[in-house]
Amino acid sequence: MNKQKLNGQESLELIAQMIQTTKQTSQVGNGNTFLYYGYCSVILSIVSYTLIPLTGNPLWYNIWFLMFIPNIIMSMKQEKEAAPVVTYTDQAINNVWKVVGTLFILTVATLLALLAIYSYPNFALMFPLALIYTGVGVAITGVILQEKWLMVSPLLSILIAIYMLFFMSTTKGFIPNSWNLLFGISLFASMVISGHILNHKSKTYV
Amino acid sequence: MFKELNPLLHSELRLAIMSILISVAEAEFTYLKQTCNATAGNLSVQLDKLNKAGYINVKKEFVGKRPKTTCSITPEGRTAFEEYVENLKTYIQM
Repeated sequence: MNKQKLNGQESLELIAQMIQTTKQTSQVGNGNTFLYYGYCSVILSIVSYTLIPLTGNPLWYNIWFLMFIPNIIMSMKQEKEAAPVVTYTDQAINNVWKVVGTLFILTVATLLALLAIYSYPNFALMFPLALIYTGVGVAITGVILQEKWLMVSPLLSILIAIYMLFFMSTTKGFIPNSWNLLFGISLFASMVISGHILNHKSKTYV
Repeated sequence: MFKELNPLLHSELRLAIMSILISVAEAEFTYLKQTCNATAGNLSVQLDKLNKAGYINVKKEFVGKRPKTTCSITPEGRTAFEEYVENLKTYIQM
């Protein structure tokens, strides 16, 4: 590509060709992030649902803090395999999830501060709040990508979150063990299935 | 009446670079090199020209031990590209 002068037709063809090539090569965006978080939450939901009644130790609820592991893995992966091109869509989605991630960190920090002040940790609140945060994140991603399942599936998470908040308000914070499973099921619908749909669609374009 | 085409953009490699950068938020040097089928030396020279004109931003950093150069279009570059395409239309009577 060393030609210095182009005629009008050649210029237009070159612009169209470059934009088309860029579109094709940058449609590799996939649902792996959804799959990491989705499968991690499904595994943790089964483990906590099984171990809490089996051991009789509610400390197993703390296993949910392992939800930060996918973030560590992805940060390490991103450093090694940074995408050579970032589209405006990728940038918008990344920013949405940065906001969601910040909400998670702020919520955990606030709950820890409340624990320090009132000596009463109610981390059960993380169940409905996490469902709302991830639900909103998945839905906005769906709107950006124009993918119906991603727009619709978070409704289940939001409905379950409302039920959880209502239940907590009537039981002074007590939560049944089944919530571990409920949490896993709703994230399976909104993140695991969504992740596979995105991966399947991205493969058809490559 | 033909309008003069921006000479900075009216070169094959620079136009290819701008066409790529107009459609993405940012692109790595290696991606531009591969997509434009250009040599590293030639690409560097053209990126430098576009950068000096204020049409693109060039960010150089290290990821681990590897150097990484990322380019993105500036608002001035976007305007210049749009004007170039508009002027081009008068040449081919669109």
